[in-house]
Amino acid sequence: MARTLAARLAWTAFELVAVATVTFVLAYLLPGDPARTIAGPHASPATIAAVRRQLGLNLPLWVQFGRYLWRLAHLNLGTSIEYGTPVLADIWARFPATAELALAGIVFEVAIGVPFGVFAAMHRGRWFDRVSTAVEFMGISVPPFWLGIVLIFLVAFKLRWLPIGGDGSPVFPYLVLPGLTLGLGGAAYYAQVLRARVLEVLSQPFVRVAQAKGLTMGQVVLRHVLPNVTTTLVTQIGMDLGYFMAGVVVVEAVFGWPGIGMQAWTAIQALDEPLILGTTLFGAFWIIVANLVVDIAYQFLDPRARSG
Amino acid sequence: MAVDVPAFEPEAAIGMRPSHPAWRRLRKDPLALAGATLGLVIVAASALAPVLAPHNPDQLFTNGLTASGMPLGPSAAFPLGTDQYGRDELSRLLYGGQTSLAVAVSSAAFATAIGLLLGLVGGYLGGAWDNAIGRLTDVVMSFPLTLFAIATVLIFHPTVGSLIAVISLITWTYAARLIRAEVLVLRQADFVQAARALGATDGRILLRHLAPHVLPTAIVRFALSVAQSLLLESSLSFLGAGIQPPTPDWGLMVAQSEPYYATDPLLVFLPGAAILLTCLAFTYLGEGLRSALDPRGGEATV
Repeated sequence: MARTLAARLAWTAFELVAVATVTFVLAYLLPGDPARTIAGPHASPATIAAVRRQLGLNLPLWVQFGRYLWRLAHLNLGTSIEYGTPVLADIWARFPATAELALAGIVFEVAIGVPFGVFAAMHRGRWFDRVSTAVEFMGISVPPFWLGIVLIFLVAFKLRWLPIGGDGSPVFPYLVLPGLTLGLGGAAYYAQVLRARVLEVLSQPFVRVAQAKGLTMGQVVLRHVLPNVTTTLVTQIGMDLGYFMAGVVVVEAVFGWPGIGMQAWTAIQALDEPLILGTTLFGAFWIIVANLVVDIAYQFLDPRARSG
Repeated sequence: MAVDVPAFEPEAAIGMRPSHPAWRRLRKDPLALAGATLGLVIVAASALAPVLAPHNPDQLFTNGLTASGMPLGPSAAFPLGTDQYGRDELSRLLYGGQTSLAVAVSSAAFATAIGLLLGLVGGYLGGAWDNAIGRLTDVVMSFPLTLFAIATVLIFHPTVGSLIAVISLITWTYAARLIRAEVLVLRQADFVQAARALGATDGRILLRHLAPHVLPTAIVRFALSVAQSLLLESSLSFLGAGIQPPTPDWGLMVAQSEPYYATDPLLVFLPGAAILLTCLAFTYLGEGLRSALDPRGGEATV
């Protein structure tokens, strides 16, 4: 167990370095001279050369890469061109909003997806199962940016039930539409995964035994099936949380939600490369960590995974 | 719409006899048939845009805006109205389909081809090759998709070519995983052992014996990948890191008409609905093919 864990941690470290390497290459390939950008449009060649030396851009590439990793290890993601502030501070300031939205998205995924999936499995082949399968593919196929605008138009603009966008206090009404937009596709996916898993468990001999004891379908599902699908659910939630924490640019952009995705989107328009790449790296970090946590949690949740 | 729809021949595409059980199952699947029909109509409508479109999609009509400069509603001259620049909405939707579909289908084709190649090689050779490819897949999958795509598209400038390259280079992982898993099982099969015993080279076994067996999986993955690529492409174009104006593109059209959603909801609704229907068509078709090709009559397991 300890050896598996050590190997897993080593792999996580390698993944982080690999992701950082890709970001470094991207930064290197980006068009434009960072020194020129920082020095300003009217800077003399001497000033630009001084800035280049200051940034270490005159050093060999591998030295630059080493310094880049060194900075990252000290949590230095560079300085935003547009704001002139440390990128990590900018991201950290916006992160609570993204975390709120991520949680809201997960809540919608679970609240819609789980009942649909379980109910469809319990009524396999019946009309509910067929209709929900067809609808779920719709949930997966809908472009989130468009779904957001349609929801804003119908629920916020026409019906005036909820605010059109942005953030306010109390936060709950502002979270409903972006959370739903974020969670709907995942809800459809959860429903499909859960339906498949529940059907798998329902075919097990112990379910037969429970039914033979005279338990109703509802009792069987509640007591014997659901505990067996929690692992699947927790794994999926963990991975989604990682992806959502990476900032869902599209949803945040549509709703003007002040998270890291929205900030990245503004950074795209300003071509603020340190901020774009910093957010990418930050997002990758969350995804990698979420995968690690899920893998470890899996060992604890499912005794069968430990021996294997 | 009088569209000349060519006959749909999946058996030719997959090399199946019409009596093949998978083909029979597919014909009985209402969702797969709906997907195939819808997909064909959308692809045909986009391909025939030069014939079907009433106007040049880029032409700015002086009579295409109201006196106060707002888009026009549907009329005889402009069947679906005009957009905020006084261009014909129907023509832009048809031509927009060309751009969106070209990017989505090419990206899906490249992604599936890369995944097929790496999945075959990794699964068959195993050992260090498999390990390296598996780790590469993990690293690519740990990038936040949209952000990473945006960053890369900006570097290589947002053009149709760079979009296709970026989308296929970050979405091949799904195909690679599926194909690898299948090859791992297949390489133990008797026919592979027999071919090896007869002295067939690795290349020959891969190409002549394994590739045909995983082709159905690749085709299913391709169909689903078209939907995935279209969503990614339209998201990028929506965010300004994809197709650039004035080229008509569905995602870009949603972005450009977003400010008008309160007064002209149709302008936002139509291009988004086109994306939804196209993704739905390819998803229904892909899932239908998947369960039809599964000898156990399997269901969608995602």
